[in-house]
Amino acid sequence: MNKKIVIDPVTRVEGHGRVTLYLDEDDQITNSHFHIVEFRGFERFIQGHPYWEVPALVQRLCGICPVSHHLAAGKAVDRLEGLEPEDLTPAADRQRRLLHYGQIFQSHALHFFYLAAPDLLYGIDAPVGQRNIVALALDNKELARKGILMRKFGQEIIRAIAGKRIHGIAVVPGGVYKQFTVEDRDYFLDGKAIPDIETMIEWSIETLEFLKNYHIEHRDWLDHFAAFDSGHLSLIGLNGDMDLYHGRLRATDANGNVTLRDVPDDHYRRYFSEGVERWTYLKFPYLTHLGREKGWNRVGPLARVNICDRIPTPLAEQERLFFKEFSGGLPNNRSMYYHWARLIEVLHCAEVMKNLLHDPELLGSDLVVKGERRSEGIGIVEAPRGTLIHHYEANEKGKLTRCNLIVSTTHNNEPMNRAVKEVALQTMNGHHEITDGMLNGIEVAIRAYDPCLSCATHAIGQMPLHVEIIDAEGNLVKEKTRG
Amino acid sequence: MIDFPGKTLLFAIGNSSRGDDGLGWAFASALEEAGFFPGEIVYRYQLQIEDAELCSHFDQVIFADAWKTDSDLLFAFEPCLPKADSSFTTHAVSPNAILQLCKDIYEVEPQSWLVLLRGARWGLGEGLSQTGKKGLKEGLAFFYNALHQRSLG
Repeated sequence: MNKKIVIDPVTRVEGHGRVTLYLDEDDQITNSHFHIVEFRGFERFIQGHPYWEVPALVQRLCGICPVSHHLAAGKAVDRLEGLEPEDLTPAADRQRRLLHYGQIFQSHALHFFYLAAPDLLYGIDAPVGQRNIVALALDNKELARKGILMRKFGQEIIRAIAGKRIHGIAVVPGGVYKQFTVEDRDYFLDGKAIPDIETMIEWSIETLEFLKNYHIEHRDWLDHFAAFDSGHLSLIGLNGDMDLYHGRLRATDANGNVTLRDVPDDHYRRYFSEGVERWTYLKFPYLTHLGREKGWNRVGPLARVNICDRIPTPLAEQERLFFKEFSGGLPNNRSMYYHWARLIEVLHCAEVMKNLLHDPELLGSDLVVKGERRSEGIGIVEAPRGTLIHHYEANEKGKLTRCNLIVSTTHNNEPMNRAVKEVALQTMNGHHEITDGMLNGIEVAIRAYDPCLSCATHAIGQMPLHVEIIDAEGNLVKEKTRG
Repeated sequence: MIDFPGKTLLFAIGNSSRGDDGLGWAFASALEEAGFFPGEIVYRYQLQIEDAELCSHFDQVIFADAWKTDSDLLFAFEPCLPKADSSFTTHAVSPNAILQLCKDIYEVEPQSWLVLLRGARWGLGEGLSQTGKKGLKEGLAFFYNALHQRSLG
């Protein structure tokens, strides 16, 4: 009898995801799907709104990365105002960058300490009751405390620029909302109220050292778990430098051969298409000239560290060089190395924040410039999870007529599906019993990509882990709920 | 009954762009507008781990959130205790887990409550449902009464 195994929803992944594995009569995996079960509908919702409201509205798209949406939309709205990123004042540019790097710093810190570290410290065979932040906090109080304070530092950067309320405003068309003051700056430098930026750099290095040692000790597992060749895509700055806020689009294949050579970000539509499947709302972006089968790419920290020629801060660059050497001098195509790449970016973000906090331009009072209206605006940033594209069209009254968003998790849709299948084939093929450890493995593979699936509601009473095994006739064979 | 001794923190959790998911914020906004909530109010899409650190600075913590429930109740007010529960499922953390982290890491255990406001619809761009509005009204009446009793000493 054919069986279908459903993991619904996936634990410690934002939003609602579901995994279905199809087995044949011999318990061999025949297919796998990673579904998104909530439809956002945001692109329709936003039509008819004035374009200048967009940076504020899009923050409500996602409770996890509102700042990334705020900035990508802000860049798109700048272009609707007839402005390119280079046209903004230095103060606006520095504030936006500080906001962006603060957001990535806190998001990555959360992912590592809260979501990834329990898997790494306790192993994927450990029960869910042990693989969590509370267990980690009890066993490693200092590590947990540092994780929380790193996360808080990034959140405080966001608060200082965007304001205290949840829907703070930092970005306005053509600039930023308010001046960054000396008091704002000194809060992050004097170490009185919160640990200072130097401490953030020190802790970032410590965390990175911990993970590097972990990789050395567990290399065999990390090298083979959910490892598969892919393309890689990210924005790239001047001279091939890593730039998470603005740049051109570059893609390479699994061996590092360039498949998209530093094209202007607002030309993205010329190069990308999106595939659809009946079983998921999430699309599958790919490079048009390579086709649906060969043109898909990983995005996010691993892709960015693979693609850039250099990280323009010294400590992170040193770490990138070691990472590259460890990877044999070639792009790294192993899912579990996302964690390492993420921590290199944590260090890079800390260094960039330090530079920005010491940059006098950050305190400038010239905040907004005006341009000549256009009907189309495209804004792209490298969000914590990868390349984030916002694209808007507005009519002559300034009302939005069209919106297209390609979020990071959409780019990673194909890679996550491949990761699920890879792990299922490695661990479940031919087994009569599906153990918790096997299901955990699937989740660990997905979690490496840090997907943000839906920006879902989170009312109390939601989100148990529900596992179902259903036969080919649709009969429920087995059911398990975690919670 | 809550009587607000010491420093009080209210977490308003939700998203006002998603129907009744905005109940927690609506509750806090109403209290804020009334102007006599004796503590600090913070708004969150979701609770996050650093909120454990914030809790450690308060004597009392209240979590106001929308509620998906099969019961007939529109509103519930109940104690919230530290617990390493199974909410470790997303980037979001449950109130119980926040309190557990606060206890484990900062060795502080503020007295805590949940304000649960029953919701019925959760779609993007929808306002509060009739059910949500009724629960909100009930919850606010309960709180205004508690605050009034307190003011009477």
